[in-house]
Amino acid sequence: MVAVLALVLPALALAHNVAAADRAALAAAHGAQPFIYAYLGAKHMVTGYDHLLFLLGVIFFLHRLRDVAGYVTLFALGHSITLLAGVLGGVHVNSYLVDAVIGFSVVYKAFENLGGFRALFGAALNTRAAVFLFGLCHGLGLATKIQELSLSRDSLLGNLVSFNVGVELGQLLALILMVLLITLWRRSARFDRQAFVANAIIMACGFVLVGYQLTGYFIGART
Amino acid sequence: MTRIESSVSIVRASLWALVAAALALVLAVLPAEYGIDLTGFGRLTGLNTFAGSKEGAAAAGRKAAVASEMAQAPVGADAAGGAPALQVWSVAHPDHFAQRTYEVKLKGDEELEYKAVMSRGDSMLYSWRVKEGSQVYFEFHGEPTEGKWPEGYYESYEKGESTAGSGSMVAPFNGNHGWYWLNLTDKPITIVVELAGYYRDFGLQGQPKSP
Repeated sequence: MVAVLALVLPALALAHNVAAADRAALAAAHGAQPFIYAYLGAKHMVTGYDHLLFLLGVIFFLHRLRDVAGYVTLFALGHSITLLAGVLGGVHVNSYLVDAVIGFSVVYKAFENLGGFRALFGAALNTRAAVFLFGLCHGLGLATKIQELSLSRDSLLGNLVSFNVGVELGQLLALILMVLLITLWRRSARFDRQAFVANAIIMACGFVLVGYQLTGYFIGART
Repeated sequence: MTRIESSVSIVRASLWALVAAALALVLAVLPAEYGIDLTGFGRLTGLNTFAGSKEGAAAAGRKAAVASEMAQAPVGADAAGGAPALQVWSVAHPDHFAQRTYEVKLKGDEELEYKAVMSRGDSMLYSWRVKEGSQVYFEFHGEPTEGKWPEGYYESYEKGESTAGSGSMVAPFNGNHGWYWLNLTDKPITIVVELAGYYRDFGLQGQPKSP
């Protein structure tokens, strides 16, 4: 498990920030650029492994497509609100802290999937509320990141909406793949046991994210 | 949940996850991302070497990045014709250093390059800001003019979007060192540049390369 984490995470870490080349492209673009922003939104989602891990946790034990759609809509609603409000209101939150909370949301969801809350505290939290709440946090992260790009003030709202649409599209794409794979996996007789291990791994990844971001916060890089 | 696990196994799995995460962090992620190498494993595997050269590690990382870029490859300078690596902390000069303030005017959406001639190992302090307070895209970089270098080679010191920038630099090679600026607004702007150090002929240079 350590070996896998060690190999995968540092490589992925590069993917997270909006790439330098994309910034330069945006710097040169003015006015409404629906396709550029939508593409960046989608790219951010597809390569944003922290969002993907959280989504994976959320849909892990959902059997019906209707439930998947329900939870994901809540998540999307949450992050759309904070993305729009955050950028329009010029809210700057330390991106390390936001990302640490996002890492924590991965840990939380994995722990819930392990059955931790039910077994240890006798009651599960309201998952829908939690997913919505963490959706708000994820949106704040997106808002902080998109403000690192220079956004031209004209047609800001339009570009933000485009970015958000892109985020949803990217999310949908990733979800389809995840749901498909898990559905296949669920047919296996050993799914229960493997799912337990898988969620422990997801949780470990969440811990790594928390540690990585908090360290960044405390040594004061990037702020 | 399709299967109810016992509390013990859930706690055990969570603890294992925590331990695995701590190991991955300390052994790999921290050395690779921040150059924090508590165990020496990063140095052993070479993981710590790319901490400095990564974007996003700015501020604390930025200084390390410049330092490591200067310590690495072409600057360490076998590429520059077998000269020894640059490891000089003090350079005496016969002349007084230059010190001046410049005003660089850019039209809306215009891009320009302003550079100074500097010799390897010479240093300069700089501060620039956009008078109007608007954002520019910039790339602080150097182009060697002597020695054997790949065609069109230049070394990027720092780039990004900002309204101002300050710092110090030591020229990694003989050549032209300075800024590419792109006005991100459609209105004319003036960039005020203050320089002090061992440089010559700060001025407009050729047609800028696109970033």
